[in-house]
Amino acid sequence: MRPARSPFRLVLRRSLVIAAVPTALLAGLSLVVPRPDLADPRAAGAFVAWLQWPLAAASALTTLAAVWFWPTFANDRPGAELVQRLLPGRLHGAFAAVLAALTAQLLLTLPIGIWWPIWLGAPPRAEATVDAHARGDLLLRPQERAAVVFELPAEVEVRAVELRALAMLPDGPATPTRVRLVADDGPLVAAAIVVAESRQVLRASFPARPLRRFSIEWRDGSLPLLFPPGSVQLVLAQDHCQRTNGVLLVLLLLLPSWLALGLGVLSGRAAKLPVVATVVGAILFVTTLGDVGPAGPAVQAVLRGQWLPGTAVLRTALPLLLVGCAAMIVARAVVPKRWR
Amino acid sequence: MATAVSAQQLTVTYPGRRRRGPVVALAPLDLEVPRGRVLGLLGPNGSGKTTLLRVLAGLLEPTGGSATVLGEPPTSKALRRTVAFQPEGQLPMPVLSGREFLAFVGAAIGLPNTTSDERGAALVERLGLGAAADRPLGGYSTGMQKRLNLAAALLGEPELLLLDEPTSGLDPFGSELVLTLLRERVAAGASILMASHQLLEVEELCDDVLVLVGGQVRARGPLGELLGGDEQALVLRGLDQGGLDAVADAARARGGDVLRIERPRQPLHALFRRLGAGEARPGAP
Repeated sequence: MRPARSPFRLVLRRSLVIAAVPTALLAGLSLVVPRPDLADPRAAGAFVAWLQWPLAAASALTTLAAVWFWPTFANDRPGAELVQRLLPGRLHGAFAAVLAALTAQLLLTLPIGIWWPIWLGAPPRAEATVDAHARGDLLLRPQERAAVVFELPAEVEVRAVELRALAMLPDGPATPTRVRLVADDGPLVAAAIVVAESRQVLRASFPARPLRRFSIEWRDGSLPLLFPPGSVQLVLAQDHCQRTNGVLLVLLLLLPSWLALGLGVLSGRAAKLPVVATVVGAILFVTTLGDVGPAGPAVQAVLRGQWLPGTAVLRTALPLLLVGCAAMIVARAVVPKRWR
Repeated sequence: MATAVSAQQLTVTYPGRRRRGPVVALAPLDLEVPRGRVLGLLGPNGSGKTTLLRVLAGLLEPTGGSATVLGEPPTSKALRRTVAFQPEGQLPMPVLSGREFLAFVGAAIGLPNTTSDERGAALVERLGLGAAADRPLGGYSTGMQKRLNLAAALLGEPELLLLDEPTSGLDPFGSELVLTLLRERVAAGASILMASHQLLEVEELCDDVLVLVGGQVRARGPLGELLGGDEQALVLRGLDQGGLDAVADAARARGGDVLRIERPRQPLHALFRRLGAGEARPGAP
């Protein structure tokens, strides 16, 4: 094999060597675990862990491999002075190491992002959705002429409405509430929708049509229904390739690594390897497996067949990108004091 | 004669930590090293030898004074290839093989790949690391790491070598190999600044020495001047005691003092050299 000569290639090769086998094993495991047949493809959202774990493993291993391997990532590493002199930039090759770790992660996770969601039973096409927010009162009371009105900022082409209403306790005996979806020009669907329990996912499909304003009207039943933000979504007429959605997922999952590596480079200007590795590992843990980052919701959205750019996940990922950039800029500006 | 290293009032003071005051690592130092000369830096631990080398390698900014290396500031990128720095301690990236490490160094100093590979292979063979060239650096002994570090320093055929303890941890064969390569580099016109505790080797290789103690210059100058007294030695072979007495009498008759007549022993490193120290030993630690 030809020797790698640049920091980028050296770190890329090392990250791939360290991360490839564990990632492949975890990805393979998710394929052999028995899964029940899914009546509704969107129920593949229940398999989040089987997709999230191999992606998180690739992220953690490529990132930590770069931190461990590249001598200028942390203070006082053996041989670091030699590298500092040979690579006299501000970060002495650490930025190239960061890019190499991200590239390694991309190469390892791209096949998983493209093929695994479909193998795990996700819908073959990704649906784009927009949230519909209620204008005025959010509560649909069980009484004559009660209605909750929804209005969008602009007209969109829609082919379904999804409801996840919160059912409240009725005053008397509980009977499922039937509601009707009505646009300005008449009902969106002929049949009424029956809400029997809280957070029940209900979908009303109809031929694609432009829509800006509609209302949910009470027909009968005793359950009061609350429609908080996010409980009513419109499914846009235009759907998208699920593989492209998988690629977007993989790109999105680079952001926690970028943040961890950025803060790792910054802490490494003053701290030694154990501290830097702890910083990087902790950030990766909370942003990929914890609830802080976009990883969990993004994986779930892809498995449910939701088009990622239409979800709120991107908004939650943006701070990771910005903080990572800021950390890298500050790390370039900080010149560490050297003490022998 | 052109100057390899020049320093004027070069000072390094490390800031104090907690309740300790600042530490003067290098008191104001003036230094001129002509091209083609070998300067040995001597002194006890903590005397400022490594600090001086790090300043000249562009790794440490002096707190006072100035220095130029081959006419450029020490931090100049142009010096990456023409000035080689061999720090003390372990090599970076222990999972790389010796060959991969040299390939990385060659690329970093801007050598074409083929030149780097050819020179690297030749140096590895000469330094007796041929059989170990594809093994990870983490498995190298201290001596092997030292030799590979020197190979990396020589890869760019530098005009100036800044060496920190180049032979510490080496066996006598390894030391002799290193000294041989350094002599060849000097013969090709290179200059060397070498910090070392191996006084015999400094004596063998260096033209001048600079003795530092506590960051202050205690002695400096050509080795011959510093070591030479007014004693002279005449080395003879094949005379019996009568012959030796006759030589001594002749010396006295010319006004000289005969201080002692002794049978000199060969130094141990000369024995090692006779036993083949200059030959490469593939894979030997």
